[in-house]
Amino acid sequence: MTAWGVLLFTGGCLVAVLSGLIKDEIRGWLDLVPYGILRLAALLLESGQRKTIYEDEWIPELYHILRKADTRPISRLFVGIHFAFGLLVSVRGISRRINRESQIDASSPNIVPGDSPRESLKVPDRLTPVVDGDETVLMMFQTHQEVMNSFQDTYTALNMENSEKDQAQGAAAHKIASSFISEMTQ
Amino acid sequence: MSPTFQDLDLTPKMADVIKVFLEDPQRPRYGFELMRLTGQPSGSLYPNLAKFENAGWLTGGKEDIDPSAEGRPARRWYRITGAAVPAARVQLDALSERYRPPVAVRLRLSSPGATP
Repeated sequence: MTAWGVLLFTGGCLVAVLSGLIKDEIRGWLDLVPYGILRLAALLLESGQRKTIYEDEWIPELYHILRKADTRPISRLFVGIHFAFGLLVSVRGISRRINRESQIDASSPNIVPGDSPRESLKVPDRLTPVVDGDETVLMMFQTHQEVMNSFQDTYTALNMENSEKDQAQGAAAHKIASSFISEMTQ
Repeated sequence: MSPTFQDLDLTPKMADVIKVFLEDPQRPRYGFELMRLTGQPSGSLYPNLAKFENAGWLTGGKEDIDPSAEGRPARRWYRITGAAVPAARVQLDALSERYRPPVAVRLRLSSPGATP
């Protein structure tokens, strides 16, 4: 009987410890879910924006939400996922808006480059974020560049051709005029 | 240095955000705090914060803490700029005027045959 008592007591202690460990394990894994969603959102950002937006702003905020904002685990998890998912849905818009405004900033004479506190969000070349971002956009950009290059070549060739034609016509006219003048003067 | 101030046309959601800043212009606000105060999800709040910041309405910075001592990363705060305070008040007034309901017209109910 005493042996059974010891066994039950030991088993109870083991179950209690194990359930605590499992609870902590599950909590740890569940806490990773919003971080995972946020990581997905970060992948959709431009590489230059990941430091300032993802690492410096989103991660600390999510950390705050998961650790400080609510002590109830389910509510905390829900708020964390809601926060991360909202950013995942709108990340393209955020990225585009920051890029667009960076480009406006760069072209605006009123704004001195380097003024913005998010200077690292700005890219030095206006075309860089497009090239960095999406392969489809990159292909479109390359196609556009090729079309523009061929147009430029055609334009230059036409100009040269016209110029040569003009020169030839001018020379012929000059020749006719010279011969006409010489005939008249003779 | 903050970016040059640019005029913005406030949408109702943007107005909700800027109103929180006007309540105490000196007080720094955090993203999650703004989400709670305005009831806006992160997906609509953060694009607006970026817009405000790029237009010079808000300025941002990081908490002055030692992350290793505090055991957490420093959060990013936002504060309304001096130039944005009067502009925000004007814009909020204009928005309030735009959404003010029309004055109720008092209908004179006249019985049939009664002289107006």
